[in-house]
This record gives sequence, C-alpha cells and structure tokens, in this order.
Amino acid sequence: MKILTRNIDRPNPAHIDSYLVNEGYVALPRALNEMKPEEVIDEVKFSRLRGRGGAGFPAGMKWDFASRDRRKPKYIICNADEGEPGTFKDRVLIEKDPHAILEGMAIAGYAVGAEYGFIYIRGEYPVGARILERAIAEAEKRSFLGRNILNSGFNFHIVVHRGAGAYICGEETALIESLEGKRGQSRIRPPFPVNVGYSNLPTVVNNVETLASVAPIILRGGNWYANIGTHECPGTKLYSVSGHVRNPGVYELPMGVTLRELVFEHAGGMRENRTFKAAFPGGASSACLDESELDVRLDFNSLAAVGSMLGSGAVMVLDDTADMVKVAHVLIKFFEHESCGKCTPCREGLFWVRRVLDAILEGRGTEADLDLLLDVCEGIRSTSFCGLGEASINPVVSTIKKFRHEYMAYIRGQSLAESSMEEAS
Amino acid sequence: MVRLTIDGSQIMVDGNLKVLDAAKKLGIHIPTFCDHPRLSELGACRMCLVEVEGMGKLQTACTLAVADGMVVLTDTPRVEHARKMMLEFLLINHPLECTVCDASGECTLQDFAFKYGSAETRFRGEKRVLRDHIISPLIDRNLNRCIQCKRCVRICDEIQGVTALGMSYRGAATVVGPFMDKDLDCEYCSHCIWSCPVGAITSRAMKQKVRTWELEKAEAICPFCSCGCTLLYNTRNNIVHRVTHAEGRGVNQGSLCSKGYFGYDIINHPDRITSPLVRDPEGSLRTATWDEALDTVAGRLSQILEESGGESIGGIATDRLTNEELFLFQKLFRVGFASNNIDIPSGVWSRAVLPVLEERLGVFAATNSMDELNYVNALLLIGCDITVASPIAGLKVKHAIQRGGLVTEITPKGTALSRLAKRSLVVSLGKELAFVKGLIKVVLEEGLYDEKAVGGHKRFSNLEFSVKGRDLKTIARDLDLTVDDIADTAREFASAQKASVVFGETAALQPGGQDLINALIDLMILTGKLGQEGCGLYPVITNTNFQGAVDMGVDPGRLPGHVPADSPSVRKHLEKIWKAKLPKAKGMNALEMIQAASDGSLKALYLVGVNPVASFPGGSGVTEALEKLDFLVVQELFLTETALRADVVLPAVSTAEKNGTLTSMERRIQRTQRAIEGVGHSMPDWRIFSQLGTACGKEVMKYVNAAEVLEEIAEVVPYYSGVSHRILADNGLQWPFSKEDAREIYHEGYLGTRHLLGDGLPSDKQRFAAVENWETISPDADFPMTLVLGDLLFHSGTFTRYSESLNKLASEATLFMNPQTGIGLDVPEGSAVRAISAQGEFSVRVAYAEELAPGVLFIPRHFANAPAGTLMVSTREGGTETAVVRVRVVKA
Ligand SMILES: Cc1cc2nc3c(=O)[nH]c(=O)nc-3n(C[C@H](O)[C@H](O)[C@H](O)COP(=O)(O)O)c2cc1C
Ligand code: SF4
Ligand code: SF4
Ligand code: SF4
Ligand code: SF4
Ligand code: FES
Repeated sequence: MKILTRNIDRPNPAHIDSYLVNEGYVALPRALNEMKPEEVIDEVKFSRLRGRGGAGFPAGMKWDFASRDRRKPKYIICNADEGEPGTFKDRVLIEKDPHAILEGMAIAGYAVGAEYGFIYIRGEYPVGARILERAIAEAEKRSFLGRNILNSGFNFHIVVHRGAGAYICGEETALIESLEGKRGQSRIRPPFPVNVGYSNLPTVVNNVETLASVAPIILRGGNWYANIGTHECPGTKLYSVSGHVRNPGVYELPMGVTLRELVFEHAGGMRENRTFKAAFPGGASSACLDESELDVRLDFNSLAAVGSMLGSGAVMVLDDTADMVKVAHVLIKFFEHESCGKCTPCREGLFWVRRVLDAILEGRGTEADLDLLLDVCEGIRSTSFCGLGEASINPVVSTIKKFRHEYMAYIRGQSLAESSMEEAS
Repeated sequence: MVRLTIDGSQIMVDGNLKVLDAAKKLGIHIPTFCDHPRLSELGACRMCLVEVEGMGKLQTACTLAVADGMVVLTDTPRVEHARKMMLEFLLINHPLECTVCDASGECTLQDFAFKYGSAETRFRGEKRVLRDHIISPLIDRNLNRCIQCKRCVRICDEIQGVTALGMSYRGAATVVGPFMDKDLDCEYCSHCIWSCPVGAITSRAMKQKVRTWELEKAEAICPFCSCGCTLLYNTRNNIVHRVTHAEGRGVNQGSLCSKGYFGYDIINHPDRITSPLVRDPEGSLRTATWDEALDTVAGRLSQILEESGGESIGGIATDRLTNEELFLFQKLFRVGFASNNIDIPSGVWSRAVLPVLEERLGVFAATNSMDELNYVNALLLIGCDITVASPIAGLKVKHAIQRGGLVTEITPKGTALSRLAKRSLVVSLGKELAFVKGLIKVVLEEGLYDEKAVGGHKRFSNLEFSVKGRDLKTIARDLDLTVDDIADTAREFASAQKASVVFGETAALQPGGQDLINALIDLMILTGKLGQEGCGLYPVITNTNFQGAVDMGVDPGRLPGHVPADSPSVRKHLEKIWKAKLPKAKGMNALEMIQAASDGSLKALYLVGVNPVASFPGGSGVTEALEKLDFLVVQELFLTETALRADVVLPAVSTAEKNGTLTSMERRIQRTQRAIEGVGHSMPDWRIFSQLGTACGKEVMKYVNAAEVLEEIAEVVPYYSGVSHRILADNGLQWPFSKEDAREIYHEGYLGTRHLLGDGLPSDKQRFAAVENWETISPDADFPMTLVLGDLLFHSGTFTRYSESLNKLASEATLFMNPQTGIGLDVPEGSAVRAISAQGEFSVRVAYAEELAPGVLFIPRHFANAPAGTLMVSTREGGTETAVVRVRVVKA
C-alpha cells in the first residue's frame, strides 16, 4: 500500500509538476475552501494519526491544543532533524516528495491558525535542504504558499533552517531553542510547545512523515486512514531497515507488520548463510528484540508491551556475527557523545557506562560490573531530564538481559565474537 | 491557593509556587545545586528529586508546580537512592581537591556528599580531565570542579545582563567560560563567583589566602558609591580577606559591583598610614603620638583663629565620611573656628543642581526610590552611564528592560546599556537640551500632555512659545537623529504609566546644565509624571555620602538640613544647643579656598580624604596655593600627593573600621558597622574631630561614640529628627519619616518615604521654566572639543587607585575619541597627544572608540598618569568637579 511513497518512483519526483499529477495540492484548497479549521482538526482526529517522530502522540490532539491557544502568531515546525541512528525515511520524503511535506504544513497552519512554518533539517542533509527550498519557491509561485494562498485570504510562509549536527536538536524543545539561536538543550515541560514554543508562542512540532500523511487524510477522509494498520496505530509507516539483511531500505507498510514479515518478506531476509540474532526495532535508543520475538508487531503499543519501542521505525537487524557487547559499546558511545550535558545523570552516567564497557571489552571487567551497569543505567533512565538520557541506556540494558553470556565471555577472557568469526572463515 | 501534603504535613500555598518553595515553608530541606531563588528554573542537576503520589517518575522539586491535593514525599528510600546516585555521578569526575580549594567549607557539593552521599565510590578508572587556563586576573575558573549547574551563566545573563559566560561543547566535555574561551571581558560584578555552588569560579584575589571557616562576617555599607549596598566584610585577625554578598539584604538584595566586591584590599593595604605624622623643623614628616599631633593642630589653628579670624581657616572633607563625621566636621568649623569655609569636592551638585530641584519641586534629593526603577515602563536616561555611575541602579534599569520597559538613552558616549535599551541615541554634548525640547514639542503638538496636570498652568503659552523656534525636522537633523527617534520617545514617555527621568553628570555639570534640568522638569510636569510611584526624577550623584554631606550642612552657605547659613531662627536654635556663636556670613567654597590660599587670605586648610593636587582644577596652581598656607592638615588613609605637603597628617580609617550612618542616593539612612579595629594607630574621623574639638576647648565636641553623635543629629538636623540605631533597624529609613511611625512600626517594615511629592506637585510649583535656549554649550574656537571626565566601572574617584585588584582591571588613563575625530586630528590610535584647556594641560595616549560622538573626547578621571581633573575650569558655583571641559588636542 503506497500512501507516503506514492510519488517517489516518478521521474523527477521532487518537481511540483510531478506532484500535481497525482492529486498534489488538491487537499489544501479543499481544506481552505470547504472546511473550517476545526473540521480539519476533526478529520485528523478521526484518522487517529499518531506522530511519527518517536513518541506517537496523536497529531489531531496536538493541533487542537495549539488551535485553542489564542495568542498569535503561531508556528508549525516540521522536524526534519532525523538524527536517530538507523533512521533515513524522512530523507526519502524530503528528497523525493517535498511538496507532500509543504502541503501538510500549510494544512496544519490553516487548522491551528499559524502563518509561519519552519523546517528544521539536519545539517547533514544539504541536498534535502536545497530541494525543500526549491520546492517552497515553486509552491509560492503557484500560490500554494505565501500571502493569500489561492485567494483564500490565508497566508503561510515556510523557512528552511539547517541544524548544526546535534542529535538532541531533534527533541522538539531543544529544536526550538536551537531555532531561536540558543544552545540546543531541552526545556522543562510543561509548558509544552503547543502553548509555549518558538518565541514562547503556540507551536506545533511534527515529524516529516506525520506531516506528509496529512494531505491524503484530508483527501480521503480520516475514516479511510483509520482503517489501515492496527486500531491503536492506524495508517502506514515508513520502516528504515538496515543491518545484516539482503535488501536494506525504506519500506512503507501498514502499521503492525511483524518483525519477521518485514525482515524476511520485504527486506529479503538475512545475508547468505547467516541467521537472525537480534534487531533494534526503533533505532539506537530502543531495547533489542531477540529471535524469540520475531513475531512481535512493529507498532507503538505492541513494542511497548515487550519493553521496547517503535520510535522512528528504524529497524536495525543483526545476524549471528554480531558481537552484542561491541554493539552496546558503539551505541552508548553515540549517546555519550550526543548527551547535551545539561543534566547530571545523562552527562556523567553515560561517561561512566562507557568506561565500564571499555573495561569489559578490554578484558578488565568483572561480573559485578554487570550489576553496576544495570544500576547505573536505571539511575540514568529514571532521573534524566529528557528523552535522550532516558532511552540511551536501552541498548545496554537489553543486551545485558538478553545476551548476558556474551558479556560473561569477555569477563572470563574468551570472546564469543572471535570464536564465531573463526567459525565463519 | 492550593493545599498539598509534604512528608505528611499539610500546607496551603500560592499556586504559582514550586514544590521546593512549599517544602521550604514547612522547614523541609530538599538538597539543590542548580536552583537559585533569583534565577530562572533549569532542573538540570536532578539533586532535588522527590516522590509524588500518582507520578511514576521521581520529580524535580525545583521545577514542579504545586497542585491541589498533591502528595509529596522527600524522605523515601527511592529519593535517598536518587540523591546518592546524583552525588556519585557528580563525584566520578570531580577532582576532590578540597585540600586546596577556596570553596572548601562553603561548598554545596562537599556538604551534600557528606550529608547524603555514600562513603564509597563504585567508579574505577580515570577521571575526565579538562584542559583549563587562566581567563582573568581576578576571576579563576576551574573546569574540573564545575558541576554544570549554569548558575553562573544564568546570573550573568539574567541578573547582570552581561552574558559574558556560556557553555560550550557537549556531554561530559561541557565547559563553562567566556565566548570562544577567550579572556573574560565583563563587568566583574562577582555574581558568578558567589553563585557557584562549588569552587569552579572563585576570586583570585583571595586565592589560598585563608580558609573560609576561619572567617568572621560583619555586615556593613559599601564605601564606594551612593547606591549604599549592604555587604559582608569577611575578616580574620583584623584583616579583611574578602567581601561576600548578603543575599536578599539591603537595596542591592545581594548584588554588588566590581568595586564593592574587589575593592576591599584598600583596607589592609601595606601603604596605609598607621600613625600621626608631624613635620619637624628640618621639614620632614615624622611619626608622632596622637596627643602631640592633635595638640599641634589645635594649637596652630587656635593661634591662626586668634590672629586672623575664622575666615582664614577652611576645611574640605570627602563625602565618603559618615553622617556623624560630616556633622562633626561642620560643627568643628562652625563652633570651634567660627568659620563657614567648609565644603565637599562635589559641592557643584549641591549648589548648581539640587537648588534647581528645590526651586522647581521643593525637594533637595532624588524624588523617588531606586527600587522603583525596576518597574518603570518608560525611562529617559540623559547623560548618565548608569551602570558605571550607580551600578545597582543600573541593574534595576536592566531589569526594567527585561520586563519590557522602554529605555531611551541620550548620551555622548555608548554605555553598557546601549545594547539593551530600546534606543541609544548618541548626541553631542550641549545638544541634549534640543532633544528634550523636541520631546516637549511633540507632546504639545500631539496633545499628549496630562490635562489635569496642565490645567491651571500660567506659563503654558510660554512653553509653547519656547519650542516654536525650530521644527522637529530641523531639530532631528541637527542632532543627527530621525524625527521618529524624538517623536516615538515622546509618545512612549507620555503614554507610560510609570515614566522616570535619570540624569547624570555629563548632563547636569555641563555649562548650561541647569537649563537642561529645567527642561526635563517641564517635560515631567507637562506629562503629569511627578508625585507617584514609578514616576521620578533622579540626579545620579555617585559620591558615596553626598546626600548625607548636604543634609549635615557641609556647605559654606547651608546649615544642617539644607537651611541657609544666615537663617536667624535656626542659627539661634543651634547656638543655644552648641553654646557658641555661629558665623553668619556665607563661607568660601572649595575653589574659593584654594584661590584664597593662593592670594594669602586663607592661612590654614584642613583636608579630610581629599587630594586637590591630583583632582582639583587649576593644575600646578593648586600645589603652589597649598605651599603658601601657614598650616595644612591632611586626614587620610594614604600619603597622597597632597598629604606629602601637609604639616600634620592624621591617619583615619576606612568604612570597615568604624560605626556610623550613611545616606544613599535615595535618601536612605543606613547603619554601617565596624568589621575590624582601625589599622595601626589610625582613628575614625568622628573621633579625630571630637578630640580635636575638645583640644580646642570645646566641651560640646565631646562624644564617647558615634551613636552619641547620631543622637545629636536626631535632635538638630531636620529630616533626621528622631533617627536612632533602633529605628534604622535592618534596612535603614528613607527621609523624610515620621518618628512616631518609625518608632511604632519599624519592626513591621516601615521604611520611610519611598517617593517625595506623594501628594503631587505643590500648586505654587505648577509652572514651566520654558527654557529659551536650544544649546547648553556655546562653541569656542580656541577649544573646539568637549572632553568628558568620567568614571570607569572599576574605579571610584582617586581612592581606588590603592586597590591592587581593581588596578588589574584598569590602571591607566587613555584619551578616547571617535576614529573620525582621530583621523581628523591626524592622531592614530596609541599615539601621544596633549590635551589643553584654559586651565592647563597633560599628555596622554589616544584610543579609538566607535561609540563616542564626533568631537567628544572621554577620559577617566582616576589615574595619576593623566590628572584630568586639573584641566577643569572652575565653575561659577565653585564645584571642583565638573564633567565637561572645552579642550584642544594636539600631537605631543
Ligand atoms: C533525543 C530525542 C531526539 C529526537 N529526534 C527526533 C528527530 O530527529 N526527528 C523527529 O521527528 N523527532 C525527534 N524526536 C521527537 C520530537 O521530540 C517530537 O516528539 C516529534 O518531533 C513530534 O512530532 P510527531 O508528533 O509528529 O512525532 C526526538 C526526541 C528525543 C527525545
Ligand atoms: S538527558 Fe541528556 S540530553 Fe537530555 S537534558 Fe539531560 S544531558 Fe541533556
Ligand atoms: S563577574 Fe559578573 S559580568 Fe563578569 S562573568 Fe561574572 S557574572 Fe558575568
Ligand atoms: S562554574 Fe560553578 S556556577 Fe558555573 S556551571 Fe560550573 S558549578 Fe555551576
Ligand atoms: S560601589 Fe556602589 S554599586 Fe558597587 S557595591 Fe558599592 S555601593 Fe554597591
Ligand atoms: S535543584 Fe532541582 S534540578 Fe537542580
């Protein structure tokens, strides 16, 4: 089922003419001319669309909150920071279907009463930024953006802002700080951005994929969308599949596909002669699943139920050659590097966790270190200021729980990984 | 109001509070690092975690708003574990060098680790070590001790408005420091030092000099400016080792400036004079006993009095002295020497500026309180670099700006506020008047005046007539401003509910300063901005106890309480109490005294804390005049250029070494208390005056302590009637006050009169001056430039020259000029020039400063290398301080 990826295989897909061929910019005039802002919000509520940035918050509710705040101006921010390791699905939309994002933002603007939009795009996507800028210019020329859109009296302006490479700036409040020219660090919540966002004014922050889902919902109706996927998590989802599979890539599938189906039917299965060992279903910050969990459905609720999370839908698949201690080490190094440094547990704790993993990998670990790791990780999880710290320890905790023997091998002085490498050659 | 339960105790609190505040009210201590009552919330350290019923995760008490029915637990195993964990986290990378850390003993991390931490660490391995370097001569940073609480960063930004500090890099590599880790370039207000909960930002001035727990603290009033800040002298073995702030106390509420915080090293400076000196027959100064010195002074002065009369004896005292001392000084002269020849160096303010306020408004001081500046909606700052002239008032203006107050600055020179103010208009000296008249014009033309206030004014048409001569466009063009600059300022000012005017010395002390003040008063009357909260007229006079000196009658023409010296009734009253005949004729002012010394009619001069050789107008003529005197007494802390020429030198003490009261720029009478005994054989000035008076045979000069002097002040000085230590209590009292009210309710927070003119302007004052002039300085072909003599943020008169710390921040004068001016004169930056006035000249190096108006020069007045004060032209009012001098600059 192709909703989000309906346009990407067209020649010159990013061009406005390619977009217009397939009902592009039909939803926007319909919303502007035929619907009241509340009706647009209601339609999104009917669709039960949940945010694709990681937290899965209902988009309609978020818009509703922002629309109820009477202060002006308001802002729509498209979160295109896509920083979670293993995630590359927003990039596909940005580069191949930028107008779907712009149309979604304009509709969101109309719904909540915002006249300004920002696209905060990660600095590592220079091509995407240029494509978006060109698309904005195209849309302005045809009056889909800018002043008095299609003579409706509605104004909506979009500006592209390039990030400077910090993962934390994908977190919506840190993003806003960064957009305001400050150091990218999360803010205290509440108040939430819907009331106190950019310049302390009402602001909706939505992920690229969330916004790209909007125009189809307005076009076909919320009920149509709500019937796709699972009841709690409707719609299609872009899964970024990476790792030891035959065909890594972005797959659009109805929410709730099982890990097994995704890996073995869509991504071509494991590499030759290799068997599935584990997968991180929601990027680096999710808890890993092992072989026994291949039939878990990849949606917000099902993954939460097994102690992991869907996050941005970045499925990182590992086969039997993977050394889970090294995997945990690599991932924690990422978070240690990306910790913004604001709060004590994340800043100091990740430094500590990494040092302990260093020691284990260097053969200086003890069994007590595993309990220490779990205790320190729990400290980080339960006391960190923001989601980064909270989720950062998932790869360590989940690998210790599910692959403790690999840690023990290091502690005892034998390397599982080494032995399996020997086997392979 | 909401009701919540914390550890089983219920409490009703304001719904805007945080759980931390509510717990505090219940006396429940929750440990915190990053929270600070004066700063925005951050929630970063996670030390204050508590359990809240119904919330899964632990919550930070400092950020969690109270809610009705909330149940909070601060004392559970989970909370205890979290605290242990936070401390363990913080300590893994902490250097644990308490042995050499100056914060040891008052370090929050040390205290909490002891109280809540675990005795063991589970961390093995190497600590993170960050590369560090020295960022400033006075402020030490130690990155490895930093716990990233951002209190320093926030206080520098939110309270001081400077933003000199920030955080760079991420995660465990995060470092705090100046932009790009360059040298610290800031106001040195010290906020960052004392807000740091650990020893990561410390004062280099006390580095490893003393352990904090050995220090005793004594509250006193800062001696360096008229803000009247409360501070704590930290002493050990009769040495002041540092100053600390007194959180939440006094007008400054804990804030200080660079002088207040770092200037204390003057007190125990090795060059202090520790015993009296008397010139021996061979002509050199030698040590003497107090008896000998005082007998010499009393003997010589009595002799001169007998031979030549009181008119031949004069005295000039610094307005840094306490009220008691200033009172005794004038009493000594009037009673002991029958002389009205008494003055302070800043007499020009009391003779040229305050009389304008007295005549127009009937007040002899700033009309409103400093604190009201915090809340103004519109403010006109004219010729006043308020951050420098009055640092704490400046802070309040910064806070007004943060609250959305619209500040318009009219200045010949960019200031620390230029960046923050709504508009900073660089206007050449002498043209400010045209700007103010432009405002009046807009108010009149647009009908923005206050009908009620203007209703009965007789000279309304005169005011209209006085601004007819030029249209707004011409005014704007001449000032190099836009019409909107003037019109918008006028509209904002007129429409603001709380609008005030602050003017400083470059406005008031220029040749036609009175016209400017009159025009400002016209503007305020016209717009109805007098006589209410937030609407005030503030002359900013930096000198510490200027107001006290004027109130005490250290003036050749006024008795205590601003009463003219020839007032028969008051003289009679005083004569009865003082058992002496008081001189009737007006005495000489400071400059007239120097003049009289030079022509031989003044025989003896008694200088207290003033250094005319370095700072009086007249150049070498001053030295020559002093040499002609029969007898020169200098009462001082240091052997200044002037003291070296004295016949007797009397060692006095600093504020830290004496008791007394001071009156701040907002008429606040405050107590200051002794922190250490006088250094060596030095004595408080009041005691010296008293003993000298007694030695001259005046029993009425006998006092056992300063409190006894205050009792007399309470009896004879109007506005101070009924003052006593008891009613001054904690925060002092703003005159005028009702002594009954003060006695009855002082403990309930009676603080005197916040603003004068509380009942509005008296009807006989309801008229306009309608100034005819448009300029206050007329061109002078021989001296085409105007030189502004001003203060630097880091110094106070010539007194702070003796602070080694402050000298590290600035110790030499350069002549600042706009690059355009420099190029015009063909003097490149760094080249030497001669600045020449009608009175004298000196050479100095040039520095360029973009923020100066063309043709305007600026020089700090503090330093010996360029005694700019000596260039000044004596004004007709006889002040020795003026802010503006006409000069010509030539290549040296
Ligand atoms: C550490 C961290 C990083 C995040 N990075 C991203 C990101 O790169 N892109 C994104 O869309 N959301 C990211 N989020 C989620 C955002 O905070 C926010 O929830 C999201 O943009 C909301 O959009 P949605 O409602 O459409 O999901 C991140 C959250 C955290 C805690
Ligand atoms: S959890 Fe990490 S990223 Fe988030 S505020 Fe704390 S230090 Fe910064
Ligand atoms: S001394 Fe004051 S101005 Fe300087 S960095 Fe510290 S807080 Fe900022
Ligand atoms: S230097 Fe001190 S006040 Fe500043 S962040 Fe570090 S610990 Fe906090
Ligand atoms: S010099 Fe003035 S502002 Fe500075 S601390 Fe002293 S009284 Fe306060
Ligand atoms: S004091 Fe509450 S988080 Fe720092």
